[in-house]
Amino acid sequence: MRAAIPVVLLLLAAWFLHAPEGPGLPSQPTPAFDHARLVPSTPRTPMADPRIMEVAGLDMRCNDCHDIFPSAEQPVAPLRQHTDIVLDHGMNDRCLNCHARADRERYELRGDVLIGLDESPRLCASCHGPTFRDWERGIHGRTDGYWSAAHGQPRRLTCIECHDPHSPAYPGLQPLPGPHAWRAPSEAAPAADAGPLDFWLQRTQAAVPPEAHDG
Amino acid sequence: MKAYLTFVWRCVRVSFVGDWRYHAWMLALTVLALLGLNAYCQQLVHGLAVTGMSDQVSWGLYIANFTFLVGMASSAVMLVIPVYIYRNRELHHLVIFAQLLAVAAIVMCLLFVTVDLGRPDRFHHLMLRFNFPISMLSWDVVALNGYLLLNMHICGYLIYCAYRRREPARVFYIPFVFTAIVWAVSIQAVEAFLFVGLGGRPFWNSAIIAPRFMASAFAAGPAFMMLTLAVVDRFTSYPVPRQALLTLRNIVTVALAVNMFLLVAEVFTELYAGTTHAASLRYLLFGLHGHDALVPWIWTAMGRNSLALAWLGMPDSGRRPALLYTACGLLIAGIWIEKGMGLIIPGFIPSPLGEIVEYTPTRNEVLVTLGIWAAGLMIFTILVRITIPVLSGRLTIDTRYHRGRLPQPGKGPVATAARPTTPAIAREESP
Amino acid sequence: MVEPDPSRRSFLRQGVTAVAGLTAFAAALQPLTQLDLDDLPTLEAHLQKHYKEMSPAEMEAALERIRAEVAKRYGLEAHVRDIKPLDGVEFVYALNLSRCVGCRLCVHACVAENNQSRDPEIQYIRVLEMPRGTLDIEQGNHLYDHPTVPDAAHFYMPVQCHQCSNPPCVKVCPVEATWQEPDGLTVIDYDWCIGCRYCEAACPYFARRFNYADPHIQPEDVNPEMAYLSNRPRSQGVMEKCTFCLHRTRQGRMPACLEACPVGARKFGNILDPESEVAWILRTKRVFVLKEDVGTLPRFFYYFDERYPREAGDDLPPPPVDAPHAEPPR
Repeated sequence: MRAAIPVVLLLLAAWFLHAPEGPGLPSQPTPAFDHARLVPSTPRTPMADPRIMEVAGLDMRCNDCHDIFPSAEQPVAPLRQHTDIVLDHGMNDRCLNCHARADRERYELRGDVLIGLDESPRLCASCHGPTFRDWERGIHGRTDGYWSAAHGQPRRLTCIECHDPHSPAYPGLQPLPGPHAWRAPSEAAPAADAGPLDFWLQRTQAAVPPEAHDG
Repeated sequence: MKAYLTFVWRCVRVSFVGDWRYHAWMLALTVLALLGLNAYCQQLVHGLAVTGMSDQVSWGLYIANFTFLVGMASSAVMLVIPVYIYRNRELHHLVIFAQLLAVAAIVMCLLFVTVDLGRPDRFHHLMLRFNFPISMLSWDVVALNGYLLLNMHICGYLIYCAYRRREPARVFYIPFVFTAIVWAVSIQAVEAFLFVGLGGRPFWNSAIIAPRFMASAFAAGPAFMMLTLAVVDRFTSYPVPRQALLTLRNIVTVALAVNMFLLVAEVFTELYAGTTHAASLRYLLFGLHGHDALVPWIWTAMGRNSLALAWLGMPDSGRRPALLYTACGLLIAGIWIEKGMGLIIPGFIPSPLGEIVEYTPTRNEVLVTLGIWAAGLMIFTILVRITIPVLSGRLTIDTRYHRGRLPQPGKGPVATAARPTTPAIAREESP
Repeated sequence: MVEPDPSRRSFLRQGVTAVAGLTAFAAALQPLTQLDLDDLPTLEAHLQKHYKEMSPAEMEAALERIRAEVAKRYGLEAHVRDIKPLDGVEFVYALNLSRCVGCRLCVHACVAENNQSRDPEIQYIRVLEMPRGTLDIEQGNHLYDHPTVPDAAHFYMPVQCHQCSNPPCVKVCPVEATWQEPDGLTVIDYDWCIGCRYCEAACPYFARRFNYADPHIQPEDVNPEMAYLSNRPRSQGVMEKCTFCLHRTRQGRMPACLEACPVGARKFGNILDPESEVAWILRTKRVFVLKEDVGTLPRFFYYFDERYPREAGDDLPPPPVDAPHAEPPR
């Protein structure tokens, strides 16, 4: 026994010196994504005032056409021009609700008041009052730059610099990668227990009248 | 002073002496301790990423063992109280082993905390800016180190006086013993309050944690003492009266019964109302959303504790040592699971944001843990190895050896009354 | 026999055993040879005082050390400063849950701004996909991965450090490595933290992160505009967390997460200024905080706002019958 002690200790020393380089550490880097998305930017660029378009090789303004081609009293036919516009503004489905009939380089408020293209928030405000109130206070929409006016000028955007006025609902975004920590799972877990709302919604769906089951 | 240094040197030399089983035991512990040291060096280099801990489960095996061992350390009070307050005769010369266990256990606790730190090189920051009395960890530092010093003083003084063959002066150890009684309870309380004080962890933020700590500690500690005394009784000539073991058995049985009742109380409180705060307990007992790593552990722990209680509670358990010691082993394992992994890990699952991230200790972590246990057992073995000859009068300032019944080293090898004669023994036998 | 045998043979045996033991001990320390001596803290760094006790000269020395470390490690010239809080400022953050779409741009903008480790990955912000009808954040799904967000049956709730006014993390730190500054931010002195992770256990919002390994960032991803208490490089073994980008906000700028948000869901400012955006939100919107029962008094408020309710499969209401209307041009 006593002779075995130094032998065992020396074997242990040899094992330490020849043991593999270290414990295998996991590695789970974040999946790649487009880092350009992180740069704060203005989502849209509104029309300039006046807007110059190139039509058949010529620089034209809106009224150059619309002064010549009058619109019907109540335009009902499908548009043959501006077919790139997708109009999905809820109940607001008439172009002339916003665009002035008499002057296409102006917007029209109630009472035939015409406003310039750079005053679009007043137009939006004529229907979206609470949102406009919040926007005026700075809490609708993002305030970039500075929270302290003493240090710098905060940057605020107008309505149409974020929202497409014809289809104002924000489009869906592709989410950036979720957490990929080393020892935590990065795949979604099974669904949680039904909360109070799910509990009652399921009962609502289950309570279908008997005749609906036939046919 | 010179006598003291000589005493220390002689103790060091005595701790290397023993028969082959003692050496085998110490060699095994040395190997484990060195493996643990090697694994800890890996951890120092690569960081705590070599453990299985994560941001969600940020305390694991190290703190689980730390919690269990604080209980073991404080359980010395369960022998000190009968001896020093109620003047129990049978336990009188055995209480020192409990205090030695406290020393070894506290050293293990301090080691476990050190290996759990991310920056152990900044330990000195604790002395420069100490968030006492607000942070419970600062109380823990004071409590553990104070308890270590108390027990080191008491044991060291009593053993050194026995070595010097003089009567210990009561003023140098009685006040410390009584302080240690209160201090032992307070280290358990502080340890419990570490967890209880966290409002964001409903599994821990419960008043029952502190009483459960006490009850489980006072079951596991004396059980460990019973096993130690069984080894001392079997392998040395140090007297271990049977009544002492029965007293310990009674203490363990009562403490274990209280522990089981507190468990029932906790389970009822959490599960009857069915609140969301019970998620951690559900995870522990039944698993949550398919995650059930701890379920087999906790049920076997509860099974072990119940079986141990049944066996200990039998009227004739005192006459059946095999039953008694098996029950002790079972309940130590059961309480280790219940108080260690069964308390720490469920506190983190689900995370405060509802995430379920399970925890499995890595090989490195297990090696470090075993290494610290081996180091602690080595310390305890050496302390007992020194204490028994000194208290038996065989190792004193004016004796080099003592004839008589063959003295044996503590904890480890079997000694037979008739040993084959070796040159050393022959020299001893000659006057 | 109690004492060891002093014969020569036994002395040799004991000597051999002792040498073998010391050899095994030294060999056990072998992994430490992998430590790069340059990466170990210098004596000056080791003896550095707590942030609150450093004189301006000592702080400048510490900043110089950080600049040197960044230059050595990433080859960059870092602009590291110690930025003090502004007077008369207490920050509050508000988040409009009707707007958040769960795109996680805030999460990754924060990572880019604050020099967080990419591998192992550290992210201060967690976006929870919450089912409708509950505010129990433990019901949230962290790992959603739809092709597009928002998903109609859920709302999205980003969670980060709330810089609580009654912070449990500050209470439990044994070395006072984390504390609350006068402007409300809970900060960490990364050179003081001992890595015990008690604060991580104490936080009810999963806001704190620990460096389990050496942080890894590619040099091209490092943001050189740093501050001592926020986004300067951290080391293995210390805690970190969101600081409301104090290197930006203490100079009047907006935090990175706010500027990255494409829908303007985040609002930030000085609550002591009655004209600020956040003051208006707290006065007029139906704000609430998470886990109010824990008593942390967070300064991060959530609220729901007007939102055009859309449910999967819903049709828009039909137009009034008296007015014929044009087909929507396609």
